[in-house]
Amino acid sequence: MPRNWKRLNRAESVAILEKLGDQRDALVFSMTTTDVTIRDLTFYSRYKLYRLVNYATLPVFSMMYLSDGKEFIQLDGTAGPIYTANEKDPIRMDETTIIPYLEFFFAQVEGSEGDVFLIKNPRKAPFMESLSEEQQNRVVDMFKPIEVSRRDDDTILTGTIYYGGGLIAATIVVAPDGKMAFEAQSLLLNGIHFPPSPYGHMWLEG
Amino acid sequence: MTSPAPDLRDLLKPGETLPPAQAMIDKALEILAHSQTGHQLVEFADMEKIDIRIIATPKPTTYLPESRAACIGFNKSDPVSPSRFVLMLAGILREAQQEISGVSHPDLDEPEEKHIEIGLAKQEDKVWHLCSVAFELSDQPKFTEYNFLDELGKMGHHESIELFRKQERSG
Repeated sequence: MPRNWKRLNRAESVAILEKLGDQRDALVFSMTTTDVTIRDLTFYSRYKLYRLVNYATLPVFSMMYLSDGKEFIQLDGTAGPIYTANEKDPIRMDETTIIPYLEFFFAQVEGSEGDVFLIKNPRKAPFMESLSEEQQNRVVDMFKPIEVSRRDDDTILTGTIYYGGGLIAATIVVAPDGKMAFEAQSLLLNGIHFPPSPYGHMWLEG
Repeated sequence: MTSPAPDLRDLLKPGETLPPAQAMIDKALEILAHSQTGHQLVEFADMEKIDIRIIATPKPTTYLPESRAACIGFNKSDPVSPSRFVLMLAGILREAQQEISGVSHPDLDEPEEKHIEIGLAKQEDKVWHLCSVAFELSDQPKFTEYNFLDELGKMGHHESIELFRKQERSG
């Protein structure tokens, strides 16, 4: 199990599944073959991240939820559910929480070009192994390290993002309510391919 | 030709406005019924009263939580194509058919080998049905623009398409 996740015991899992089952349009998860794991998110006070995995199907079926233990908000790959949770449990957004928030956001929200990843250290990025030494040096040379600053109430991060086979230098503005905007972006390098879903493979940069 | 640079603003697009779920399901069933294999799946769904639902998921997926409940999931910001939707429907209906006819997943405490053996057999059977549906619909001029075979390939079944084609040729 990835670090920071806690696996609930059977009784705790059943209690969660029962609460979830009471919700309108709830998906069916087997009480006997579903594992529930839970993870704290530093930017929320009450809400946590829940991961439900039904091992009785092949491939296994999993779904993520944000929840305070009573109400469950299903994460569907768009920003909407995260913004909804932010309204119910206002996030703490500052220089210390912006990176965990963006990593969480990018892990859950997907664009038409697939996964998004905030690069903290290019030398530890998994795609590096697939590049020639010359290409690796280009990535390192072009990499813009993360910088965090404040502008009025907004928290701003500039850095390097992987998306759609490219490395992009971007400025991301996060409002106090967690809503974000991409203020500037420029393509540094194209034609890079991550292993399929770094999130699915639980890749951690360290 | 170079592909356009990826745009991070993609992530913040609101979900697309789609037709009502039931309209999408009905249309997909209607198209599916134009293939012989698909027609049999549609009749099965009708006879067994399979509850077909569309769910919102980060990536395209299908899920059979119960033998008579078939879910098709995709990301509303990046919806699947109509042809992918039809093929996903065919696949999950075939899974339901397997379950109802007694070919179900082993219990979790069964040995790993049994899981692999049954899992692979179920998957092979399902993919064979997908190939049948895709070829049968592709043979009909009115579905040419749906590019069912291309879509099946994009779903990761290039090898199965070639195997199926070879078997069809050898009769």
